Amino acid sequence: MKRGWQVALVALVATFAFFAFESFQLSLRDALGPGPGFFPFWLGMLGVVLAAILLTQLHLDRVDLGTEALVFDRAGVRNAVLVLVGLIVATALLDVVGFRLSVLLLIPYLLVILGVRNWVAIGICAVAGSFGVFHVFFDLLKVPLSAGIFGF
Amino acid sequence: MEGLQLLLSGFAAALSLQNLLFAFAGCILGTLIGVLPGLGPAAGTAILIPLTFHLDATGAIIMLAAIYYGAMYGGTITSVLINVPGEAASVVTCLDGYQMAQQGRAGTALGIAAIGSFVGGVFAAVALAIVALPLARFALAFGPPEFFSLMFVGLCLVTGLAGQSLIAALLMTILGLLLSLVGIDPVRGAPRFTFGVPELYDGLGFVPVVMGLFGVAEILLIIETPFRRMGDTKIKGLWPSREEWKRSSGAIGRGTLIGFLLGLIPGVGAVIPTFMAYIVEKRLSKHPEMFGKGAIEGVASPETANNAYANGAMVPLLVLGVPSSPTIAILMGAFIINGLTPGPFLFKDRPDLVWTVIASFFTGNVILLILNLPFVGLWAKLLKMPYQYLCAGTLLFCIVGAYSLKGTVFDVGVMLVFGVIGYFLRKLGMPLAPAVLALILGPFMEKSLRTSLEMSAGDFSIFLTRPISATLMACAVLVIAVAAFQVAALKSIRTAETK
Repeated sequence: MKRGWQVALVALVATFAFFAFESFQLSLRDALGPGPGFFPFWLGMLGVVLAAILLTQLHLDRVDLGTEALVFDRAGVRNAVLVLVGLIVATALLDVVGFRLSVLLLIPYLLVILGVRNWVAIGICAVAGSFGVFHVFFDLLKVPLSAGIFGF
Repeated sequence: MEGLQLLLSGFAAALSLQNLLFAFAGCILGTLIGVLPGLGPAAGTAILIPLTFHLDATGAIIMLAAIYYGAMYGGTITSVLINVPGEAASVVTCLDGYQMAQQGRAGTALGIAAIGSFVGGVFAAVALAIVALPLARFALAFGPPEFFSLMFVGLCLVTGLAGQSLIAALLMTILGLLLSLVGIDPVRGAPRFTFGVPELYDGLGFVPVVMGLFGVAEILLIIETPFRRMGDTKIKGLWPSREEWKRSSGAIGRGTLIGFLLGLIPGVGAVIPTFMAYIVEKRLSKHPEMFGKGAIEGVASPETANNAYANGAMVPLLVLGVPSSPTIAILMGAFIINGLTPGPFLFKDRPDLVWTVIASFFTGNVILLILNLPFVGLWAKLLKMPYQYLCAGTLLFCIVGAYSLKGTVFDVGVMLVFGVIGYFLRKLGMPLAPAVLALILGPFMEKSLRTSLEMSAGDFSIFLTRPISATLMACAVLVIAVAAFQVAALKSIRTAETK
């Protein structure tokens, strides 16, 4: 758990420092008062200081941020990563092949990754999730969804 | 008297077929979210926002509010039947609810929970209707310094109550505030942190970020550790016996008061009222040894407090524009999507909408009682649904929701990025509530701060020379001091225990 917190805090220090640096490029004050960089600059600086304090406390074992170990179930994480990859690919395809086709591919992929082997159920879910959801949102609820280059 | 007239006109609108249908749909979807373990009210409300895009503002808010309190109702069912809380506020219900189910009294536990939730919800809605107008009128006198101080107190409360490390909570608050500042500067119109990406000129979308942090992250966690499915628990005899009524009535009354009063304080969250109601009941009971072994008061009181809190928490949102919890922040986001800013001016500019929404809390609670008493068996059957279908369906809704906001893939990408961030933050136990509240309040806070400083020619004492602002600032300092003291005290207790 401690290592996880250390990594997270270093990432936060970097993020806050980046925001502070970028804000400093904007004006902190102008003729009318505080400029666009004022609020984010001071927030970023405060964030860097606080994250550094917590990091130091953690290093010196002066703070208890939970005693449980950061547990990752290997098979579970593999499934989560595969699901995430599927989502990224489907997102990339969304504007290209359209919502219906990308979801028609995504749903069976997700269900198989998660261990479903009932192909009839997978087929029904894929059609309902792609064409069914598109019909409900696009046609009935008038919510814009991508039709893709094929137009369907 | 004027409040009563406005409420009656609100009822006239809330009882229209269209608004009743929105409340009904919201209650069903909310209960569904509550029933399905893992998917909490925050994730559920965020995911279902796209369903309201085609609705008028009133219908959208009615439906989303119904989803919220429906989810608070629904969370009880899993707590009682499979000892898995449907949402965090139902954790304490597991203690006695599950024991009652083990003793063959699942029906009674669910029955008293539904009745208590109804009483708590209706009382809180009445109290909301009574206090809303005077409070809104008082808040109309607020200028930018007062609004900044108010939001500052709200964030301090959320931060102070967020977890075991005050600094970690502060870091999450700062992160939320910084992310909220991406986009065009609201005062000068200059782009900030946009890196030439046109999609970022409007800022990071609140809905994709919240969907990622709560929806996608939650599903990734469920995929890693799937939850248990329900066994064959029989549900019969929903109506409590005379003795059980006697034991529950006081608990319901006290739970209502505790839930509503704590709902008024930004940052308390739904968990604290339920635990407080449970502890109070245990202290007052003649048989405290029965708690944890199936005491009906142990279900009645927290479940009542839970729903009274849900309705009470609407007071700071509607009247002051300060959300109390992540789910309420998402509701605030829905207001903003519909071109409305919650707060005292909403009572002045759109009284029709505000009072219709308040009146819908009554109709919603009646709908929920009907849905939860006779149809509880149907909801319980949903627990047999394999988690794989739930995960795939939820992810699909997340994609639809994020994409349909602006019709761009960029928002789906933002959602996925924040899904991964949320997964790691939750693994570490970092508090997400301060980040979400800061994300929604950030632009308002910055605008109020900068306008205040322009009013005072850059003099920060403006926050201390105006009485209301000074009082609020003193409250903020007090909150942080108390939170720091509590963390220090907890640390010394743990050190002593270790030794």
